[in-house]
Amino acid sequence: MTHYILRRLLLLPVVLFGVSVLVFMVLHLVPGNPAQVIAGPDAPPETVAAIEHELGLDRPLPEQYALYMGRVLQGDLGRSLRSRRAVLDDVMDALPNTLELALVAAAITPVLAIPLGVVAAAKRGTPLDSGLMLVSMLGITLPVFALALGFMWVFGYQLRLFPISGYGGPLWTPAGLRSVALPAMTLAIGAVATLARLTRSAMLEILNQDYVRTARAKGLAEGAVLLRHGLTNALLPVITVLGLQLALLLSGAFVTETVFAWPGVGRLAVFAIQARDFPLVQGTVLVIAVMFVLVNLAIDVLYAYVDPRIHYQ
Amino acid sequence: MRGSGVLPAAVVFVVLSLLSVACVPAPPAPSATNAAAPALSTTAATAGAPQRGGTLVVAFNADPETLDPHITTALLASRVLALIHDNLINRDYDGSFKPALAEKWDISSDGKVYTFTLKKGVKFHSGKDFSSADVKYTFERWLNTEKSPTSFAIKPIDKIEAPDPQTVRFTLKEPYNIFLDQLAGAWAVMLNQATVDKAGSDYGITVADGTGPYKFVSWTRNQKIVLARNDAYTWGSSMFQNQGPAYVDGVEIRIIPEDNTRLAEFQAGNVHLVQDVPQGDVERLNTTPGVSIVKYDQLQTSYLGFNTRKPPFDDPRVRQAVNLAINRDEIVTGANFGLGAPARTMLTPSTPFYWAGSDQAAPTFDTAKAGALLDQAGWSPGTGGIREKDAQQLILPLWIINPGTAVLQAQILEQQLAKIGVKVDTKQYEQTAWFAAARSGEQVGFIIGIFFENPDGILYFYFYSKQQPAPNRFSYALPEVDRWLEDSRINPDQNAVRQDYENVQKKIIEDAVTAPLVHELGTLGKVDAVQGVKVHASRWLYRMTDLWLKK
Repeated sequence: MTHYILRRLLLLPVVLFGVSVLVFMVLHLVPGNPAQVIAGPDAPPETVAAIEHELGLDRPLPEQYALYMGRVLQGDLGRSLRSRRAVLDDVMDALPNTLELALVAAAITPVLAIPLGVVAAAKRGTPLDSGLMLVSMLGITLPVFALALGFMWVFGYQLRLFPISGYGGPLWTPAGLRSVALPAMTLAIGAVATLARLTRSAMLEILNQDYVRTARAKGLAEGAVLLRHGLTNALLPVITVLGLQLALLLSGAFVTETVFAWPGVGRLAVFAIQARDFPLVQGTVLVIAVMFVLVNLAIDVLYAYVDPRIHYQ
Repeated sequence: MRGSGVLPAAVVFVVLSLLSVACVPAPPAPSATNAAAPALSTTAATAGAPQRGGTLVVAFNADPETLDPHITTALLASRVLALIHDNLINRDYDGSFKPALAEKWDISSDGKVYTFTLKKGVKFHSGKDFSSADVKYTFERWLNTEKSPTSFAIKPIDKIEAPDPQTVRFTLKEPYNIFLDQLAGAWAVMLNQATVDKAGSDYGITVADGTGPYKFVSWTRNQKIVLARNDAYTWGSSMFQNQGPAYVDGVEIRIIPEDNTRLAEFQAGNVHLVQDVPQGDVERLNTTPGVSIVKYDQLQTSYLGFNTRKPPFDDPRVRQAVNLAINRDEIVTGANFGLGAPARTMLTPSTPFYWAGSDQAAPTFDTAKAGALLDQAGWSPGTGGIREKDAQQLILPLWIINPGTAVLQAQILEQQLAKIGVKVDTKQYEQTAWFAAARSGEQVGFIIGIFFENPDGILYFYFYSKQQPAPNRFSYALPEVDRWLEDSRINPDQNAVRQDYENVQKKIIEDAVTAPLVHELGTLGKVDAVQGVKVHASRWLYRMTDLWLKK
């Protein structure tokens, strides 16, 4: 097991190398020169050229990449082209906010999704089941920004239960907890819906198994049948998807963060891309990639604990 | 999702860079004592005597990059800088110059030496006395900041002397009629050398020090900027009613990139002021109780520009025909939601040196005349109603920025130009990509906005031959236009300068280099509690010392 984890960790640099090359290439392919953005579109060509030179943008691409990676390896992600602030500072300021949001969303997800899925499976074919599945379909198909605006309107504006947008403070403060509610719900809803449907179908499959019939035959209470024999065995695919969703939550909150003015990594990346702030884009993408890889690894490890049949060589 | 993070449309980026290049030929060298200026600004109704207290919450749609005035071109940065700092002189609401940190000034008869006498008793937020050494330091830093995107604006400075603490003298290499404009510009704010040196590369990020009405307290990136009232402030410019400390205890700027979120916070009363309310939301918000939208003249014009070297639009008759075929009223209502006036000139009528003859000279809506011009140019009606010549169809490739007003403007233009047999082929770009494309030389037709407080910023900036490939995206290069523009900057005779500007305005109308579309109004959202709102056409709420919150 330790071996396996080590091997996966050793692969991390390879993944990051691939990601960084890809991002670097894409950035330089996208029209729009950062020097031009800094100087303003109407600046004289000399000014743009001077800024380009200053930033090293007039050098050959491979050289620019080598210079960049050289600094990254020394832990220096460079400075934002726009604010001249250290990229690492910007990213490290944003990262805890993203983690907070993702963790709250990730905590909400199974708490809501699994019971819903179990209930739907137990009441299969009833109006309750159909109703739950209809709602979950909506949760999957509604665009995030529409959902976000809906939540804002109802809970933020009409009921005034939660702030409409912004970051209120750390999770352990009341203001912080209130401010995370709407974005976390928005972020979780898609995952809840997906997971609830999955739990339902996994449960239905398990409930048709012989050992479940046996359990019922020996007079076990329905609750125990559902939970001990049903849910425990249905959990494996649920964990897989939960893990993937968590990875997505961590890396994919671009829209949610932007709509709710949540100062996380996703929103930082959106800013950076719009501003053609190359070092900042690189920095945020690298951090997102690292998180994605680590979360996936954690999920793989978790399998081994949940399912004794799984062994890693 | 609309416009996440970036100010709507084209205009913005143009505005950003233009703010740095303020211009208007020097007014008759005054020792500027002053009277109350006539207001050409937009004022919202105010009730009662000003009350003190409260924190004013303002919503911005993006983070202002940096508060180092010498390395940014961001419009939002200029708005924050105006609160923390003072200039030597201010541009009054009527466009004239008023004393700020300089109580008077004198210009030598050859137009090359500017001498300023500074106010006494002015202090930086950090406590240090403000003196001529700070002025010298600030401008030398700006000139010597290698990567400054705006230092070209003060390049004519030869040397700066500070003979005594209250006197500063600029000597220019050559006369520069727009020098005072530059000194009143958004980036010409006074810095404190001690603070800048100490902060190093963190200056403008974690530290900012000025003499202005509000002190920098903190800046949480992408979240908010907090400013507190400078209680020692007694040197406010005479152009403002309140020259003492600000009425409000402080200003909190919240950064909310998404339009709908920003407006929801505004409607809920959580923010007092919202800059740039999207045009489509103005009507609705104006009927919402508790809030209102101030519409203000911001000297802004959106236009269709032509690359005058790309056939078939290298033929002035074709460009004139397009100009004649545009029904601007339809565009104002259909694309701009009525927030503007039909534009037939690049300068707005309230821009200084606007040529009064423009109205006569500029083409009016006349499709018959447009058709006749195209016939004359050899374009005859062909298949599908599109005109043809030598088996070529008459197509206008039109490059626009999405999101932005230009999207709707282009749709209306497509229909209007189809009526005279011109097919419009619209291509949409993300804004940074647009600016990259539109300097390639491959652009034929394009829609963009310009904004400026004086004619130099529009005429010299866009139509001078050496401004190619951008901002002169028209490939427009005429020796006589260049001569007039050069003369407008150095001729000490006001009448000669007026004639220069008139000649250029006449010529670009004649050549139909552009088809101006709409003089667009700015929009500012305010909750009813905010009083004393007076929007400056080019400086927005300026130093915010006259604003107060009604309890």
